[in-house]
Amino acid sequence: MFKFGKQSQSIDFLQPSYSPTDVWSTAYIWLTNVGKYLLIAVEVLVLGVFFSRFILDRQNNDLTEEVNAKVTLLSNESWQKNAAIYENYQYLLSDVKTVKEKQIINSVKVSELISGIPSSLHLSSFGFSANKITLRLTSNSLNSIKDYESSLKNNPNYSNVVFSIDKSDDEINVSVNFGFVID
Amino acid sequence: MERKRLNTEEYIKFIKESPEKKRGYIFAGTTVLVSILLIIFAVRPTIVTITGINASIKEKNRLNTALDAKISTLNKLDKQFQDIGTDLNDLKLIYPADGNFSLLLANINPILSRNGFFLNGISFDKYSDKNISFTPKVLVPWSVKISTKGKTANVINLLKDLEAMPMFPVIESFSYTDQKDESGLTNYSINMRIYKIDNANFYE
Repeated sequence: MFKFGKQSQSIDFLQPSYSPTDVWSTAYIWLTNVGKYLLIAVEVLVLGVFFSRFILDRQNNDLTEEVNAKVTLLSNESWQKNAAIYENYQYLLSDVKTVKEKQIINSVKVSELISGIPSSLHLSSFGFSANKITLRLTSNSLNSIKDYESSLKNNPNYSNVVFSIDKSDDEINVSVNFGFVID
Repeated sequence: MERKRLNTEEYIKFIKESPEKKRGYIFAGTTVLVSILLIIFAVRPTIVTITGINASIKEKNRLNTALDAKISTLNKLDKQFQDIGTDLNDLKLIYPADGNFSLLLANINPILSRNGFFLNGISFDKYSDKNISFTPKVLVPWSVKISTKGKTANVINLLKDLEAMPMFPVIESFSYTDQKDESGLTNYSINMRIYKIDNANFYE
């Protein structure tokens, strides 16, 4: 196949003393001189890629097994049930905290209102609903009613204070409507 | 055979266009081409796969850490639950999931008695007002209407005691008139907002 033995007897210095002329010999020469480095480089690259993939595959498989084991553990009925209960309790405790901190205690408001009615006025009916107040008062003194009206209207906690006064014989009936100012 | 004599110009032409040189170029080009093809069709897919595996490992590491955290949290919660389990069990009575307001009823009666009031009637209903400025996640507002009679002097204390119950009720409406019965007691109507849970299996 290769014609290594045929060497010309020329004194042509441009021709190497050994200069194959056929395709296979040239390929062989090139491969053993330059191509081998290229092949080694490619081999090193391929081996590097192969080993890195081998190592990464092992890591990936180990992690998959670890994750699967933990998922299996957490999928256990008892664990799932406990997790759901704890989650419910956390929501509930969070709600209780919100309710405790954010809701407005109305007994204090009612207390302030009732205790703020002057003794000269007689409270005949009291209604509190949805931050609206309705009072029915009776009195003999118009001045007391006027004083109470001005005190309510000057109180920044109350809004839309409306007094309706009805005088009959010796008694004055007063209907008062107002609302709470919501912060 | 007589060898042909070549002059300098022919030598240069011969060197430039020598068949060995052309073959050398062809082999080098072919090898580079084969190497490029190898890199494109063999090494590149492997590198792409490795990148995919790397991403998978990263994701699994994240998942693994999250699962570790969950297991650790559940273990801690389990221990805490064992420590305060009895206290948490009281929540079942304070915020019933089955509509059983027995603790509320059990608390209301002593509070009324302590303040000198008598219970005329009590009823539960859906909460229809819109007075809540916050949105609970699991607690559902419910309404309880109490009809009672007693002395006006004690009514403020009664309202404060009712709102101090452990279920954090709120007086939604309250009304009375000065009409008294034969015992000298006044009738009061108290409407409170309480809370319950709309999930029968909430505590189980």
